[in-house]
Amino acid sequence: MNANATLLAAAEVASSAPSPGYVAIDQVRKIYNAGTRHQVEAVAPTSFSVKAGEFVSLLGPSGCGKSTLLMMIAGLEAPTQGSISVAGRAMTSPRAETGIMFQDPTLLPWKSALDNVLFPFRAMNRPVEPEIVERASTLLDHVGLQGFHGHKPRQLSGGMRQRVAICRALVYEPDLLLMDEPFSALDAITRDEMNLVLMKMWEEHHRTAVFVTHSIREAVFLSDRVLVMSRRPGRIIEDVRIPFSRPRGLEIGETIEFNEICGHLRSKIEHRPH
Amino acid sequence: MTDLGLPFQRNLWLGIGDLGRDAARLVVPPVAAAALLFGGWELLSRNGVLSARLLPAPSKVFETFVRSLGVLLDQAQPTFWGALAGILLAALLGIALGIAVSYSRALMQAVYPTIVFFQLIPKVALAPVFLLWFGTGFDANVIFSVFIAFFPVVVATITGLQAAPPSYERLCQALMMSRFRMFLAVKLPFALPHIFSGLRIGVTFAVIGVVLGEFITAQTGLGYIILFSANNFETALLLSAILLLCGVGMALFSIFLALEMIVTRFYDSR
Repeated sequence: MNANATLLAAAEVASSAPSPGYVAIDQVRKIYNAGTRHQVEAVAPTSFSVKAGEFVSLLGPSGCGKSTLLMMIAGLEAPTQGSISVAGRAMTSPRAETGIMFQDPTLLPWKSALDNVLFPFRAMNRPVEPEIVERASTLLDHVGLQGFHGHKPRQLSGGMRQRVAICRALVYEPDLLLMDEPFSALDAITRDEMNLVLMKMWEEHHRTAVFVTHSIREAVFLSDRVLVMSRRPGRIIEDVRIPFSRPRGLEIGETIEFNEICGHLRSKIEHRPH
Repeated sequence: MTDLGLPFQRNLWLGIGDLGRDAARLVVPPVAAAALLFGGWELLSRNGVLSARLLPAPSKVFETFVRSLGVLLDQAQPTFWGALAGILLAALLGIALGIAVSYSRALMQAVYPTIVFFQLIPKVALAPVFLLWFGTGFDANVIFSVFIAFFPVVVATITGLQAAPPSYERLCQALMMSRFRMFLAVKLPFALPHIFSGLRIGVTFAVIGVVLGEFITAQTGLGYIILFSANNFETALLLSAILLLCGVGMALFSIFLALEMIVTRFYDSR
């Protein structure tokens, strides 16, 4: 190695000295309608990071700015102050390596389940090779949609539609998966099922994941770490590591430890006084 | 739940007997009602309760219809082509303006109130003005027809382009689609049902526009026949012309229905 390269390498080490995570949020603040009388501070200056391969949940009451934070990580909204970097690159616009899910499955009603999964390729103008179709089919099979590849969204239940949306977020093999309350419109039983499906898919594909939810149990069940956000303007008020080994089953929800963690998180969430 | 696609599967399991019963349930009541109406009309007309001059019997109308079919078909041509040209131009202009307005906030603010205002004007009242401006020819009728049929198409296009929920826009942005691709792949297909229902309203408006023009200019077309036969108390001819006018409307309507099916199938297969 020549002297120059060594110097460069050293500089790189030095610049990454505090070891920013895969997703690094640095003093990010979001104010809507700044300077007008409708000014709203959605996110107070906030810093945290997510390691590569980590599953982190943002947990907080409705309207606390957790979705805003997620949209900024997706590059769909710009922070008013501070900076966000993903995989070492500053986020200023959406990137092709991020998979995203919303509360609404956002499937195209006129396309079959399989074509919806393939939509990102058409959207990004990438060729749909036979092996891509194969990959999409395998994903659909893995989320339990064997025999439904040709069905239109209206012929699928709410849970099935979100399963299709999971496949669509994974099909282009993103390194980061962002989910904005994807299961909050589903009933409790379907939601448990979806948590298991998501867990299984995440364990198979092992992407870095940021998951926004207002369900304490869902956050604890899915995550390696749960970040609790305060009421608006949102900031991180608690960072809890979830110690359960993987793969996890729904039965961990019955353990004392699980319920103690949930109790601790609940005590941290700021409830409005009655 | 309809969401599970059950209604689609049910059709597969319908037996022949069920099909027959379904058809009977669909066909029998309207046919019976129509038979009652026309039968009663025929009877009252023959007994002289209804004046043959004011309301001739259906059989008499039909007889006149067949006898004057040549003239009627001749006169139906300018009406049909005028209305077709009217709705096609109205569709072109209406959809284009609808898209432009949807993509430019400034244009929306500038133009939308005017569109709403014009929609509130009883456009029939403007027909003489158009006569004054554009003369009494075929073109004038078409221009008036475009003017009437244009508004429902614009409004439907604007509404339709807002039909895709905002989360779809987010998805497209996350997938780094250009605005143009987003328009073609998401916004437009979401808008199509609205645009086509606007066009269906537009078709009937376009026919009204042409007929109105023919009333005023009184030179050719089914509108002219209607006016002429009313003036001469030829009620059977008048009703025959109206019958053919219904046919013209239905033909135009079917064209757009077929167009809708073709476009929908195009999107379904992509």
